[in-house]
Amino acid sequence: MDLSKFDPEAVKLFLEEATDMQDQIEESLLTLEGDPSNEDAVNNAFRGFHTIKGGAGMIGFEELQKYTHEVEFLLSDVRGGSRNVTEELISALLSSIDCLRGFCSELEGKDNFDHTLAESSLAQIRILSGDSNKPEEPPKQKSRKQSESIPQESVGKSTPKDNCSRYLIRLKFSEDILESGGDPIVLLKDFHEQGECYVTPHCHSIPDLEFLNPTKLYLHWSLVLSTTKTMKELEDILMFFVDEEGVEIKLIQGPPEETKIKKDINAGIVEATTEKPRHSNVQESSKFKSPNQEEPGLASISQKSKPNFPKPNTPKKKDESGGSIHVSNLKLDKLMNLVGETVINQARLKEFGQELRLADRRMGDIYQQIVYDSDIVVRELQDQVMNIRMVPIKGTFLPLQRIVRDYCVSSGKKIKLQIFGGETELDKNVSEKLGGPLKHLVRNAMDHGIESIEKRLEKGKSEEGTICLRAFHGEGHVFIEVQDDGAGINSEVIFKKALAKGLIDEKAELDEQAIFRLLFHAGFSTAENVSDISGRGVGMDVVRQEIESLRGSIFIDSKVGMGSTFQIKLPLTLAIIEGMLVQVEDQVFTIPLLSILESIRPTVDQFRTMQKQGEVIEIRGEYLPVLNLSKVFNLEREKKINEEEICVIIENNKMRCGLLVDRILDQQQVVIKSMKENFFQIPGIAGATILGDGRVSLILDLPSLMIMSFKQN
Amino acid sequence: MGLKEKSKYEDSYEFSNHEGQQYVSFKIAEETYMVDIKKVREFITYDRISIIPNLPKHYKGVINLRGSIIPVMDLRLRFGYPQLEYNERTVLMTIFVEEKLIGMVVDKVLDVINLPVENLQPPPDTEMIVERQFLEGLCEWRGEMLILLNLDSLFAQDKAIQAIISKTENSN
Repeated sequence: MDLSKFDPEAVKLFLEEATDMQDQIEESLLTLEGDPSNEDAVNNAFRGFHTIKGGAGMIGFEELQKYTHEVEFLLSDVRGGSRNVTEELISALLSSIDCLRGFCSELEGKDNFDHTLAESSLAQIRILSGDSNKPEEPPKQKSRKQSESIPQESVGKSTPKDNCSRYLIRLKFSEDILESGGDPIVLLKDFHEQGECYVTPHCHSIPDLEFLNPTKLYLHWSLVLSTTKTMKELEDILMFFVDEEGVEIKLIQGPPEETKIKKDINAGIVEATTEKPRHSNVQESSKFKSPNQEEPGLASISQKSKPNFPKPNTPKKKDESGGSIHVSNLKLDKLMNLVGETVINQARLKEFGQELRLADRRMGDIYQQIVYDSDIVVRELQDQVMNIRMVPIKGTFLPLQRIVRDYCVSSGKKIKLQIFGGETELDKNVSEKLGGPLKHLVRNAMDHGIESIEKRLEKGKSEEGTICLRAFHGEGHVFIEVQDDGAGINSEVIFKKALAKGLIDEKAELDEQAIFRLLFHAGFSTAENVSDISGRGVGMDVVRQEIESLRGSIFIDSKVGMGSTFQIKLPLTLAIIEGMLVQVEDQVFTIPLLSILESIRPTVDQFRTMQKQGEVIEIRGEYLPVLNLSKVFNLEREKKINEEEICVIIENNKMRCGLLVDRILDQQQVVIKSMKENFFQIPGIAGATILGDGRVSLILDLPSLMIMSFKQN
Repeated sequence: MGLKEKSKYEDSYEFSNHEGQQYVSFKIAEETYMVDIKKVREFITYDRISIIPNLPKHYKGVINLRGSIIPVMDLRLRFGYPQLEYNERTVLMTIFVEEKLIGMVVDKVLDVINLPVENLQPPPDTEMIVERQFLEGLCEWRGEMLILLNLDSLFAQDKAIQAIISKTENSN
């Protein structure tokens, strides 16, 4: 596809909008499948396609515009109630979203989209809408033809169409409609396509040239439309203008008075009077009816000013979004970086304040007051910026619905996906990276957890399996659970399997948790058969790694026959952690505070050795392995354990150990800087942070440190 | 600026615009090296370095460069010379290598020079103190031999080290 013909800025905007819309449509379709009578869902889906169609038209992407038009057509039947929601219909619509995504990624210049997919999807859509034989007529040509031949056509065609209804449509928009992207011409064209349409423009509001504001709309129109379409269908065309006061549709019955109207076309306002007698025939009024519609006659067409009554029942779509804007991740990251720098500088200012106070107490006090004041602002700023990055986890959960649905169709199992706490917020980066692992867990639950229908019935369970996705805040973390009511995990089977694979020793005494943890071991798979969905044996290992790279952890809880729960615990954000600064020799390291249980100053006789080397420390009757940073990091001097040493007890993944440090310096929030940006990942180091004095402090990566330390010894 | 220098300056300007390239030359022990000026971001004075554990000796650690963490490599150690004490006159060149920014400690920064590309000759095929793949070329300039460093391969070797590190970590 030749991308150069598009305006890159417009394309960018379109893509942002389209991406949002695709997700929304998908969500609506899935809701609709579960609840076919849900009108909101149909409307949302329809609106979504319509918006994409409009956007595609705006950037001039005709292929996509045509495509969405067809889909919209099918959906409008569903809206009108003339078509039932079937699985086939939903499948077709879902695959059309895939096509939309394909179009979009091509537009983005990412992947090439296989346009035959769109063709076949389109064919499917057409078959469904019973429209497959209808030759396609380009709308442009059609409207031109119509406008050229209005008089002849109107006389010739209208007589056979006995079942035509006639509508009077008034389009009087607010003056600034153009600014909000409304395009009356599109609307007029749309009505043109519905049947025979006579348009009367009203030009009398146009001010003198010197007062004319080119961004404002001064024209309004009245249309007389003969069509087989129902009121509802016409309303759909106007669906984006329901907020407009002067937009209304009226049904006029009775024989068409062709000759009269033809005269009126050029007469403009005169039309109002000629139409007057017909008013008695008005039977049905649309919900777009404005308050002053009750006034006698159709004189209101040409009325210039109307009272600005609020309409209580009109849905205000714009308000739902709360007026949000799209900001690129890059900008957000930059802002975050700057705030991080400010926090660092703030710490430096504070440090200097203490020195200043020693030199000049009065000045120091004033200075410190200022620093504290700005400290409050900086903290608040930091919180707010962090807050911007927070998104509801719903966005990560919803694509899973689709996966569950597709799996059910292909496997014959019946599975219901329930989502709780979708509004729980977490860092956008975390949320995005969580998609993969969650997908895997859900697939696992479907494939290995939930049993087949027969098996479930045998066990006295309901035919339909349930997978619950739960998200909630707690302990300064976000918890995410994937729970199924399937077969559960048999710890004995895992134990035997691990034995067979040589992952554990026969004599190993493991509690249930430890056995479950074996599942996360590389190369472990409990699935008897490897399917394309899951069970390749690398999955859980990758899940664990990905969760750990997000500084989270994962636990399994399971009862045979009852189901399993995978619980993921994640930090709220990746950008900042609460850290404890410790000194080891002349280096300052940062330990994530969340891993620290306590700090003690042990006596020499609390340390024991095993086989002369492995050190352990005895704390209240419990022996914990000792992690000696000087040793693990090969720092220059290797010290003997002495009285001065402080032992920080840390816990990771339910494993505890003592970390020896020389001094504890401070506890503060630190901004995590990536080592990978200019270097590469160093084992045992999670990242780096910049201290108040501008020095770099490495943040310890406790899980990998534990491995390094205890596997080497 | 004297007339003579001025004309020289204009000459070099011609060079850099047409057939020439600009290089930064610096000293390490008794040898003079140079790197493409486009790869050099800035010169900074030595700041306190935080060590990174378990890396080859020539990696001295990381520093904070206005909020970015950048690694510091001592070229002296890289080429097998004994280390000099760092002081406030020690110079760090920050250099772009494969989109990463790294700091290099050199003995002394000399000059910015213009050289026509054809003056460069391939390095001789001999055993030297510097492994040959780090050399891009040699040239004669004002009676001195300048060695053009291939920064990418200098860093590429260390990426191999990284691979070894992560491998040992995984096998553990």
